[in-house]
Amino acid sequence: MIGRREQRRKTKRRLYVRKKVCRFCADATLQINYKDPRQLRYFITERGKIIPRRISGNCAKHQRKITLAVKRARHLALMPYTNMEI
Amino acid sequence: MRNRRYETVFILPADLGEGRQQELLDRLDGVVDKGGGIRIKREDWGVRKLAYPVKKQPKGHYYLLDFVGNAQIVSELERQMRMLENVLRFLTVKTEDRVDLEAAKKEQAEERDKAAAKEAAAREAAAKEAAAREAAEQKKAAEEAAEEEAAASTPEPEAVPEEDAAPEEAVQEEQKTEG
Ligand SMILES: [Zn+2]
Repeated sequence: MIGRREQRRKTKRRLYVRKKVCRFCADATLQINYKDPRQLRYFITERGKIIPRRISGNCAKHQRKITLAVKRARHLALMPYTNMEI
Repeated sequence: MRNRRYETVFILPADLGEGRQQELLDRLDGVVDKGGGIRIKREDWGVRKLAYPVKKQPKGHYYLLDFVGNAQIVSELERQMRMLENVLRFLTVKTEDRVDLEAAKKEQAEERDKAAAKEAAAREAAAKEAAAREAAEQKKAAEEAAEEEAAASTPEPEAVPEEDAAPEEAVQEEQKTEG
């Protein structure tokens, strides 16, 4: 019984999992730039937190670059650290 | 000491006077010059809203200084900016690890030409606008003078109302026949 349930849950979960490809690996012309908050906004939540790569689909290398860029942009007040109003 | 290429973004208060602002810009330029660096260009991003208030300021004037220099220049720049009350934020990022000094000088010259051309174009546009404005004012003045003259001279009456009346009557007649 437990085994079956486990299996069911797995298949059910798989329904929601879409194979994500790192967009920066897919398109080499895309640059990650701390001076471009419009682009970086795509990788933070409404509250301003960095979206984990398991959700954004970025590879480890590009996620590190995103994280660095977001942190630089935050320091320069181009992006918020948090956004509590929303 | 090895030369690298850096860019420093810094934010000045939006309400800083123009003179004080220029003073700070010159001072930071001077740090690069004195350290034997090459200032390639300075970008003026203008006044932007800050994502969060910094030193109680809601807005800031962003600048980017693109230069080639050694680590000592960077530390001196940062020391000065830390000291200066009016620098809200600053960040230096290394953009090139190895630089060709000749290429850097060439780029500096190109940027200087570009800036000069831009300034000249802006000046020309301003002059053109001023000329256009003056021409418009002169035209307006001439028209006003002509109107005054026309008002002063004896008016040519009756001819206009008569002309207007004729077609109107024709229309009324047409309507009558229809009805
Ligand atoms: Zn990637």
